[in-house]
Amino acid sequence: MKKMGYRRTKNILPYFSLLFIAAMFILPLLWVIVASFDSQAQQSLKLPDSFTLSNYSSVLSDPANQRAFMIGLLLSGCQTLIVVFCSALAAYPLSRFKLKGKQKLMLVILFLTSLPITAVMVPVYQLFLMINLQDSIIGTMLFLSASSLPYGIWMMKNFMDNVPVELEESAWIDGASLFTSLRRVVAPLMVPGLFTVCIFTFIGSWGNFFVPFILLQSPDKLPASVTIFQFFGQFGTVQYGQLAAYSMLYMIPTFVLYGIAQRYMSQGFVLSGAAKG
Amino acid sequence: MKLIKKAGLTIATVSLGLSVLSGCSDSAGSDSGKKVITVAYPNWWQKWLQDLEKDYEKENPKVDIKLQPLTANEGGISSKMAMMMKSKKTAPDVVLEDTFMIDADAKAGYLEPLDQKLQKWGDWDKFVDTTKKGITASDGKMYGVPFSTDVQGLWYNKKLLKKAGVTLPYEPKDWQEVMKTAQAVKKSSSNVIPLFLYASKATGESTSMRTFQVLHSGTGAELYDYDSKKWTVNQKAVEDSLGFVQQVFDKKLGESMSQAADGQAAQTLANGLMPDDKVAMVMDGNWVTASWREGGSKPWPKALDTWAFTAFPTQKGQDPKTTSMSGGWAMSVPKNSDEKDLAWKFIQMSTDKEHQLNYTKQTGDMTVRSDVQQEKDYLNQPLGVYKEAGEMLKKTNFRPAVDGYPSVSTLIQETVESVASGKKTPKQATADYINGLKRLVKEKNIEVQ
Amino acid sequence: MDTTAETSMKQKWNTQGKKKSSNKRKWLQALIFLLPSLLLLGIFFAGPIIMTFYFAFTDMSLTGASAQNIQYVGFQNFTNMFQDPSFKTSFMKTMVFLLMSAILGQQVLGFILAMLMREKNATVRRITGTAVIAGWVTPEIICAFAFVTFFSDNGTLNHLLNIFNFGPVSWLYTFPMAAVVIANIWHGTAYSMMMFQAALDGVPKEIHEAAMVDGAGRWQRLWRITIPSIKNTISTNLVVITLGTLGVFSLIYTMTGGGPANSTSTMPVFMYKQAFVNYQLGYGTAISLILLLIGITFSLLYIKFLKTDQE
Repeated sequence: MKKMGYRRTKNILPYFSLLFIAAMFILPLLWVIVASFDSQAQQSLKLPDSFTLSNYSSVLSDPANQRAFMIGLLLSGCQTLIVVFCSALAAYPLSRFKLKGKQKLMLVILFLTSLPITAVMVPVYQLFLMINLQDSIIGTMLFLSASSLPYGIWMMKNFMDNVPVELEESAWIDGASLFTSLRRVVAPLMVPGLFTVCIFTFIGSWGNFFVPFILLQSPDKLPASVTIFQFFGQFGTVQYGQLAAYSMLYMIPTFVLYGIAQRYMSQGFVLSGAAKG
Repeated sequence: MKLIKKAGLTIATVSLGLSVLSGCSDSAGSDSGKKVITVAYPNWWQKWLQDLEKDYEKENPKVDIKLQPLTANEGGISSKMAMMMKSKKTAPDVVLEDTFMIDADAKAGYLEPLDQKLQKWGDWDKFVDTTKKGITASDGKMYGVPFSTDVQGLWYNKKLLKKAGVTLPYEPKDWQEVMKTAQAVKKSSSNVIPLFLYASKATGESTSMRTFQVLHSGTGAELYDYDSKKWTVNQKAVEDSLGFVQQVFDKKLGESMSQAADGQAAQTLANGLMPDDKVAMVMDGNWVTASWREGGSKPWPKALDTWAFTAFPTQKGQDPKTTSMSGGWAMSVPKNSDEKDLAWKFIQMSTDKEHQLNYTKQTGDMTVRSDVQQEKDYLNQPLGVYKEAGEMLKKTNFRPAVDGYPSVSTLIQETVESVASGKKTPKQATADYINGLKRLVKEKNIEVQ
Repeated sequence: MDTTAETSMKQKWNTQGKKKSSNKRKWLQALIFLLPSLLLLGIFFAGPIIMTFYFAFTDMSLTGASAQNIQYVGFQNFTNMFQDPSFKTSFMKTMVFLLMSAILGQQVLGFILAMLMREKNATVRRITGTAVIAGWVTPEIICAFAFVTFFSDNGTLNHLLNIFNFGPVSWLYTFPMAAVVIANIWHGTAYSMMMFQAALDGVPKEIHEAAMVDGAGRWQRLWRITIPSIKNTISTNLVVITLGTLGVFSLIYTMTGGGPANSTSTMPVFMYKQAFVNYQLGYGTAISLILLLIGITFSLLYIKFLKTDQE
């Protein structure tokens, strides 16, 4: 009997731990959800006296917010496309060609992956002043792309190493050029890898407040990650209800993108490329 | 070498291409040939600026006012302004700045001196003289037109002080009396903060100005000597000021350190502690009532039945008996503005009698114009303490208008916090303050007394 | 890294000629593919890094007289930095933050999660997986706001503790470092979890079964089989999240602003304050340079890991 009981707890324990951890991970979001429906929301967690959508409607109806969200989507979206495109291109020769010194280049890329971007923001700001890119959305987009590119290339190369080369070779025999074989044969097999790079880049960029805050000056060019501070007033007053509603809306794109990408990042393949050295 | 040259060339070409591209897509199309005036300001003045925009565009149909509200955390706004003014491409035509930034921004070459324009402007005589100090930089030139000012003093809860046996109206003669009152409150009411001081880095400039500099100015010492152009450290004065802070926290007369370390302390005070009678005295600005006005964060029309505002005494009651610190905000024209005359017209309109009166009504701030000070509409506003504040303005002090001030202010905040938290004695903290100053402004610019 | 695919590639390219010029030609061909990336990295990454080395030795500032003419000041920024007690604090805080949130927190929790989730009921897997990934998918700024309210005096955590008659505790004041560490673990664990899940899926079942037959216990199997066979992932993950954590700024700055009393002032926060709150851009850059050097040290470590992996 005793042994049976032990075994049962042994079997239940992992389930219990998993669900406990899950609960712990959900808790911090609780306030955001509850407060977003409370027009009188304060910093403390409490059920709203009356359920209201007024926070959402006032956030959504403000044209400045609409613009900030569009700019945010444009900034992060284009950045993601640039990174996916450039890193796929760059990863191809790095994975397929037999090049002398290739290993060194890979090491340099790894090295770049590791640099904290925060550290170079002052010089980047100066550089942008010098080449007159300051306050330019495109410039900011390009900088953001460059900053997430090394990691993108690195992941993409590992994904590509996993795509069998025989398929390409048969395409070459059929007379396809390098580019055609890349587009027709490698790309479709790379879809999960592309999506993984995609989601990593987008998540990293969407929540980034620092880079656009430093590089963009005109308030009407700022993305949603910066304008979120509008709910903080002169003497430390915060409109918590609207802040929470704004946060909820702000989380949608990353959650949706993850939902879509997850389907393509098939089981067992999730990040296997990224995990490899 | 060749390779580097080539790479350099490529970078240059590409960046040129990029800048052209961005230039095209970003340039604001000036539709219908209207001139555009951009105004950059902290977003809490949104409503006032929108009113000004309407009025200005009505008078000047050929000008389009473009509002640029800045949203950022404290500190962020002034660095943002500096970054905008730095480049011709992003410089606004009018900026609304905290006056303590004026000297630094003038030295950096960001601002246009306005002396000639001010001399020709009839209204300029109407501005209270003390407020003109705030917009005068260390080169003696004036770089802005003030539109708002404030004074710091002591808010007290009539109910709680009465309970502690204090005669009202309360007019403390010296620091010791304030301390005694706090102790009396501690005895007579439990669960009440006898004296709230901003005392942490989290409360930023408030800690530096509303606590430390009000105290320090009451010793008669100065933080900066404009004649010798040096930062002065009167060790006794600094130690005494910090000693006051230490006593308050050491004797548990102040708020808990976790309350002090809350960046939202001002809001907690106005929305909770003060209305709930949880605090007896607060060293703060005249604008505290703004939160209690209609449409404020905690409407409380009868607040002044409970709370009153009095001047903070000098250390030993020496002349001029009471002291205060003033800040303020001003409108300036950046050097990189390309519509300086129109910008000047905008500033003139915004600070004329009518608009200044509107401004104070909307915000509850103090006026900078002597003619508005006389207006019944101004003096009789609900929840106003303008009479008391007006008196304090006559004896007020300003923060050093020099470009090292922002970083010195941060140092002061650290110093005050280290004492309030009990980590350092006033003596140790003063020594650290001097060392910190040496690091920030170089030893040759300091005079220790 | 040498897969069979690469070996066959090798043969293919090798048969095309072993002359030196062929390597050059291949590089040229590769350059077409690499060009967009190289341009972006050259301008926006290498450029600023080189500039860092210059600005760190100047008194450049955002406003004030030295905004107009920048002067070379030698090592003054560095001597100031090493005399500044706040710098030492920030270095220590950075290391504590790294160790607690990245190395211990994310890595270990991620591994435990991945282990626990193996071969478990699909529903439980999905619930837990989604909850953990929600933390990762939530943008950094929102993370910060969520945790500020979570830890606030009347926040969710104190409400919960109240049920057990405990508290309330002013978390952000009493345990600020723990608060930001927990927030960062919440935000980052999903990444490690996914890495380990993928790696564990790759461990062949047969080895486990063989070990079980040999009578190896749970822990023995974990130490002798599971961990060695995912060694690659562990080392890679370790360094990737370490370096990611080194640069964390928005989260900490929004939650605590580096306070109270510098107790959460990591190097990025310290750098930001000097550069953009105190307007001393030159000094801020000097701090950046140190941060970069720490990053470089870690990446050298990283590269060493990889080299041993390939042997």
